[in-house]
This record gives sequence, C-alpha cells and structure tokens, in this order.
Amino acid sequence: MDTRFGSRQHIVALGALVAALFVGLSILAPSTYPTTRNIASMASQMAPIGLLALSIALTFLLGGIDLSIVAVANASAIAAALTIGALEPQLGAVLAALVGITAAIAVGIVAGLINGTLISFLRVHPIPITLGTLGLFAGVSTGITGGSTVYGTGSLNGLGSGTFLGIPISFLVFALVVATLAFVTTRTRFGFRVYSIGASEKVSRFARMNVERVQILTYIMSGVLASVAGLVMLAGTNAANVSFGSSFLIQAILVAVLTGVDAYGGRGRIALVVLSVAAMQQVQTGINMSLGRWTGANFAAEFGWGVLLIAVLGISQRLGGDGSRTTGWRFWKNGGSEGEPDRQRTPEPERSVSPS
Amino acid sequence: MIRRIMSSRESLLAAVVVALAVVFGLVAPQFFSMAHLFGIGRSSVVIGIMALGLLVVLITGGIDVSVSATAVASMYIATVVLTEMDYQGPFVVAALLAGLIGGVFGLVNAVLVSLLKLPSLIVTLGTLTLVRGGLLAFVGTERLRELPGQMSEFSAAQVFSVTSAGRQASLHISVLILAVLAAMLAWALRSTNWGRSLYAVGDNEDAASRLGVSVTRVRFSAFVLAGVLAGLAGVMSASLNRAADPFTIVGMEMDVLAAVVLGGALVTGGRGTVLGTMLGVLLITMVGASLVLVGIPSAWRQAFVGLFLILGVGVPALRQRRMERARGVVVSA
Repeated sequence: MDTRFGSRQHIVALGALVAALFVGLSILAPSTYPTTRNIASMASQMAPIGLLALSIALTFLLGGIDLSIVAVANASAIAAALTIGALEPQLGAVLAALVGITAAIAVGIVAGLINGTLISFLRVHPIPITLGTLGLFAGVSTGITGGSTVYGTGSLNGLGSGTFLGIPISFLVFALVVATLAFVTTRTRFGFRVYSIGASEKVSRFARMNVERVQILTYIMSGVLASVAGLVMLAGTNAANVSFGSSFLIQAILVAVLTGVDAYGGRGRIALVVLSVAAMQQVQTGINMSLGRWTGANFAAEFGWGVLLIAVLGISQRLGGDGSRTTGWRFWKNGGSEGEPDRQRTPEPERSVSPS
Repeated sequence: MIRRIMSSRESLLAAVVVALAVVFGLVAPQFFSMAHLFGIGRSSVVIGIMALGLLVVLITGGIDVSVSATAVASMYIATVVLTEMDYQGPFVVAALLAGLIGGVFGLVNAVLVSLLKLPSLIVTLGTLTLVRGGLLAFVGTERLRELPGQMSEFSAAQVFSVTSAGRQASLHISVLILAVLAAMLAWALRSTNWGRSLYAVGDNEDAASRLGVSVTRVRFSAFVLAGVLAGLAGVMSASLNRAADPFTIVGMEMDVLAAVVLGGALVTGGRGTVLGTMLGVLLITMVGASLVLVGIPSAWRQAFVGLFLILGVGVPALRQRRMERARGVVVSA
C-alpha cells in the first residue's frame, strides 16, 4: 500500500482509541456521557480545534509548520466582528454577515500570503518566521482592539449553535472542509506536489516543480483554515479577543501528531484528523466532567495537553521510527538555504552552477 | 578590516540601536534621562538572562521555547518552599535554589529531546504548556507579596544612584549580575573546550562526534544551562517586582527568541555571539520601554517584537540569497 499515506495499522489504532475512549467514558458516566445531547455538544466543539489541526497537518505535510494560526484565527474573528458591527445598521444582518465572513477570509488569505512569501522566497525556517508573524498578527490585533473584547451582533449564531438534521452546522462545515482537503491532498497534482516537497524539497526542485508556488498556496490554505476556525469561534461565543484560544496551538499540534502526519514532511493522511479530533474532544470532555468544579481545571487541562503531546510524540516515534531519522533532536529539519534535510546524510548533489 | 567590522552583525545592530536611540531622544527628550536609561537596564535583566540560556541552545542547533515557563515555575516554587521553611538567610541561597529547580526542568527537556529524538520545538512547546499549567493548577495562582529571606533587601540593592534634574535614578545591582553572566558566557564560548564543542555540534553533528565530541553530553549541558539561567532570571524578576507572581514572564519567550535571533544566532545552529544577543536584548527592551514615550500605545509592543523577529530572520536570509545569486549558484533555476 502507498506508504506516504501511512500504515493501515495506524487507522485501526486511531479508530480503536476513539471507540475505547467512548466506551470507557460511557462506563464512568453512564447517565451523562452516551447521550445524544452530549454527542451533539462534543461535535459542535470539535470544529475550531479540528480546523486549526488541519492547518498544522497541511503545513506538516509540506515539511513546514504554521505557528501563527491561533493569532490568524483571532485576527479574523476580530475583523469579522468589527465589520459586522459597523455594517449591520446599514446593510442588514445577512449582507453584513456575508461581508464580515469575507473580511475574515481575506485576513486569512493575507496572513497566509505573508507567511508563504517569507518562507518560500527568503528560504528561511518556518518556525522563527511564523513565530514572528504570530507576534505581528496578534500585536496588530491588540493594537486595534486595545486588548479588549469585541462582541458580535449574533448574526453568526447559526454557525455556532444551529443544527441541520440534528447535526451541528459547525461540525458539518468542518466535515466538508476535511473531505475537500482529503480529496485535494490525495487526488490532485497539487496534493502530490505537497507530499513531494515535504519528502524532499531538493528533489522536487530538480523535478522542475514550482516549489515556491506550492508553498505559498499551502500557507494561504493554512491561513484560510485558521480564519474559518476564527469564524466558528466567534459564532460560538459571539465575542472575539486576541487572547482567546491560548491552548489551541498545542492542541492542534497534538491532533496533527496523533493523526500520524510526519512533522518532517511528506507522510500522513489528512482525513484521519476527524478521528484524532474525536479522540481529543473526548479527553477534553472527560477532563471537564471530572474537574468541572475545581478552579484549576483549565490549568490542569493545559498540563494534560503538554503531557499528552510529549507522550504521543514519544510513542509514535518508537512505533514509527525507521531508525534513519537520527536528527530528530534538531529543532527542525535542516532545510533553509541548504535545501535538503540532513536525515538522509547523502553527499551534496551537484548544484547547477551557471557560469558567471 | 573596516569593511569587515562594518558588515558584521554586531556593528549593524549597534548602529540600529544608536540610530533608534537618537530618534527616540529627538521625539522625546526624557529618553536620555538617567531614570529612563537605568529603567531600560532594569527591564533588560530578566529577558537578558533568559536570552543567554536560549543562545546556548540555539548554538547547538536546538530551540527551547520553554524558558519563560521554567523561569516563572522555578521562581515561584523556590519562593513557596523558602516561605514554608521560614527562611531568613542570604539572597544567594534563594537564587541557587531557583537555578537548581530550573536546571531540573532543563534536564527534563534534554532527556526528552535527546533520548526520544524528538524535534526540540515541539517538545519544549509541550513542556512550556505542561510546566505553566502544572504550576498554576498544582502549586498556586496567588501573588506572593512577602518574599522569603533577603530577597526584599536584594530588590532595594542599588549599585549607585545619581540625582539628575531633581529626580533620583539608581542602577540596580541585577544589571551588574547580567553583565557578569554575559561576560562569563562570552569567555566560556570563546575560550573553553565546552564552548567550542557547542559550535561544533551546532555546525555539524557528525563531524563533531568524529572529532571526539560527546554530542549527547553537549546537548544536555546546553539545555541544563538554559534551565539554570531561566531559574536565575525568575528570581531576578521576583526581586525586581518585589513579589512572586505566577502570571508574570508568561509569553516572554517570544521577546527572548526575537532578541537572540536579532543578535545573529542562526536557528540552524553553529552561530551566535553573546555580544550580538545582548544588543538584541537592548534593542527589544529599548523599543518596548520607549514606545509610550514617543506616543505609540503599548498595545502595539507585540507587533513590533514580531516585526523585529521577522526582520532578524529575513534580512540575513535575503542577503544570503543575493550572495548566492551573485556567485552564480542557482539552486532553483
């Protein structure tokens, strides 16, 4: 079977994890956990983390990472809330909501364009650059709002709490996005190129792929996914603030790692994000149910995400380690201007040197 | 020779610092008051000490974003422990205890990163969340105003004071401590086997291990030192604020990273100097402390830090691309 999509055992293991969590938590709380109400509530909470995890998974496939997603999500939510608040008196709720959504998506596109351009044309590491753009986006949002919370008018409530045939609309949006991305990554040329560049940027260049174009497009997709996540967050709480979702980045990375997407690029299956988000959400709900009344519950959950991230990484490294990746300790692969990650340790291929 | 000095990272950075200082001074004359300058010194202590630790990790080719969490956790745990013991002794013991706790956190990072062979960004992002969450959930969320031992005396310890324009301005002793630590690290990086091996490992692990450098030991030393320095930074922060606040220092990892990267350290390892790092720290704190003076709301501070980080990474990369093109080395054509 095609190894770039990961092993079949991983799918089985993830499915088993979701089922085991469901059965286990149902036994622990038989009256509250396995109810349609709880399941619907969990489904409606999955969308923001799921969308952000898709951003991480997609950039992981390319061999990069986008650390700015939560800042982009908050900036988009703020842009939407401000636009809707300003335009609703003149345009009416529906039209203003549409303009607001467009504004949010535009923020995502611009943010992704900035990230992608810096990463592809300067050939610098995505970590320091997206950390810098994180600061930039969050800083600009803080500057504009003064750090205070912006409230929506409630016109996006349908996206936050509405249901269609009993299924939360935000979950439907998430599912639709997952299906689209699964198709794009597995069945299109663009998807093939993402995997190829993630596996080896240098070989992809020799194969005459337009690496910069693919990188920019991927980071734009990542930005748009983040802004959709921001819209869902805004719709759910009817409020936007730069400090929202402070633990979302680590949860999104956790989901992407759990999904089996290789942080060094070129391997993984996007569709599995649904299963790993379902696992994450059950853990979150479990924590909430058991610690609900304790004031330190949020902090304990944060502690838990940190432990889980390291545990899952460690386990997946043990199980999936092919032994050749001895450079894992490096903060990232040795990309940048040298091009090829040093995982293969082959002598430098000849560069095409044009006579000067 | 002159061209080499002109084109070095440190002199470029120093020129930027001086130019910005002149601009700030022209817009707001109180920038050059002793009180403001000493204030900049004071606020660069905590970020400066953490930056020294991160520099060491970056030189070896790793990254540690958990320094801020380590700093606040070691500071708070040390304060709680010493308060419980009703400790009254000298400040040094408190600093050593916090450094020790920080070293343990650094050791955990080192074990996870080198034994599990995991990317250090994701591991330290994990420990950042874990340590901060664990501290607030299990140790406490309360701001402790009563500092144990002679930490309060230390917070009032000034090297000297000057009175200018009717206002008294004092240079805090912690600025001197930062300077001493920086000088010691600069010497160690330049003149000891350990310092050279850090660069060797960051430049090329394989070559370093063939030369007989114990790569694992070097990595461990880097992460542990970063932890110890973070612990010291935490104690300094508590003393300067005259309270142990578990919510302070949070989010400062970005400033620290921006400062070190601006100072010329490469995130790919093998390069970075103490002088550059200190200039980066100075630039970041100077801008942060002076925005309000020149009439920009402090809410914009983070945007500037982000912009500096992007410039710090982007400008050298752009220069390298130009150089490659000028040499006729075309990778992508």
